[in-house]
Amino acid sequence: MQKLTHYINGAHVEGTSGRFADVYNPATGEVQAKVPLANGAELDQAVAHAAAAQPAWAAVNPQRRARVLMKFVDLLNRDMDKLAEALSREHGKTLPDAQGDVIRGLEVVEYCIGAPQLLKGEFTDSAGPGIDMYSMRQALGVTAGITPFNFPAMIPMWMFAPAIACGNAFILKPSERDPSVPLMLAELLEEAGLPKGILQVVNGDKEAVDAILHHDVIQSVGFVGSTPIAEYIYATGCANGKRVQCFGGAKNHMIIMPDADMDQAADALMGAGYGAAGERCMAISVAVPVGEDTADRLMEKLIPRVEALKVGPYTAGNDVDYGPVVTAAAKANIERLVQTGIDQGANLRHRSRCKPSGGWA
Amino acid sequence: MVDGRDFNLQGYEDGFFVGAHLFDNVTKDMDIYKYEIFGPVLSTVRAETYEEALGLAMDHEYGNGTAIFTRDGDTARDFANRVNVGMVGINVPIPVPLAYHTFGGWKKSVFGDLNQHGPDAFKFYTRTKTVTSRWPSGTKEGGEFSIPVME
Repeated sequence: MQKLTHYINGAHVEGTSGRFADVYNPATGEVQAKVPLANGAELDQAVAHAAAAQPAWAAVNPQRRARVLMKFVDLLNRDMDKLAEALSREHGKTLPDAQGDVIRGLEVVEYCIGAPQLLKGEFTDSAGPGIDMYSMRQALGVTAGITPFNFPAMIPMWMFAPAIACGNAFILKPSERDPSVPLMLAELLEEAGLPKGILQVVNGDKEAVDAILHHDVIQSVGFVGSTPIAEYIYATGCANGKRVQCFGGAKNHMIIMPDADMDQAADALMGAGYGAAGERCMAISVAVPVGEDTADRLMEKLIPRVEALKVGPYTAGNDVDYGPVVTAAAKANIERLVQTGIDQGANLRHRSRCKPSGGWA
Repeated sequence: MVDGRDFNLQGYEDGFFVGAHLFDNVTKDMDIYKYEIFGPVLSTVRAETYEEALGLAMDHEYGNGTAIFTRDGDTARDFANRVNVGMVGINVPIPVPLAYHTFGGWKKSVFGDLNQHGPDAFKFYTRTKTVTSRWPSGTKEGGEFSIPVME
């Protein structure tokens, strides 16, 4: 059994809280690793290292900070296959989709290489007699992010790349479902030249989240996940004087007008509705055809496409459209909601079921 | 039901696989419409008119992303301008903004003022300091005792 760690001050550190969570391989249902769940004392250590390292990092000029990110992009490309494999093994999404997860994060890192330009301030010459006025953008200090299971590479990079580019230290509390890729990203950034303590990974659950939200030194918290937790983190973080940005749930509608290209619309709904098993906050979960005729034509196109979807493990490579969902609990919740749809009178036009033999019906 | 796949799941019987589901004739009061399922389940709500379709997206508590498929530019433009959702696709089903724009929804999909990545991220991760600076030629003019105003 693989035992995962935290990544604190440039080193893999074993958990000391005594609490661990199971990390599954969603394709097989097996527990493949244990991830430590940090307590407040473990977070305190990370914060202390971050606070000690951050002033020197903020004093590095923006161009040199950007060069670390340039090197990081190279390393992400070098290790792309390895990252995607680790991501698929814990998350369940297909390998091409896992690569997309890394690449969409990488693109944010590329944007952040523009930090020297983006951080330039404003200047007013001669605002009064002999008076100049200028504004500058300074780092916050120690920042933190709490990221979801569904994009374990992209969303951490959305947060830590700009945080680091701006001269902050960043503490990442990734999802305990798929923590390996975030740990690998921290290693790669150090290989790229990031000083120790600037990006640390503290694994954990609600205990670590609450410790972040109540820590006096942490200046900002970013979060992506479900709406009830987003609301909780926003309210608690704000009450503790932090800068907070939280992103929650979604129910994305796609309207199909009578004049739409129906093949194009149906193809689009396949990827947007079923890609990554629907575990995306930008998934389309509601199709809204306008007019009965449009709806009938859309259904005619959709049903054979849904029937043809290939479901399977990431190890099948490009031969799979989507993989398993992340946990047995997630699967049970989906099945529960599907049953409410049937009970409440929705018309189930297609359902693929897993047979005990391992095939589909 | 017809099984269009021939993928063999032998050896993966204990995996957390969920088959694809397609619902038709879904209505606003159903749980599958109200709640985020986060699974391979697509619900179809039939609307009679464009206004009714727009109203569905507008009235839902979440406002992350949305899309419209049409060949009519005027309809697409009207939709993009009026819908109260943060990210809009026109003949693009998943309108995730690129890195140099910002990502963020509206309504119950977001709490906070700034979006993810793009220029907003540089605002979120920095604080502004504004300096008013004066370098007098010397002390010959003496001190000022009234509040300075712009001359």
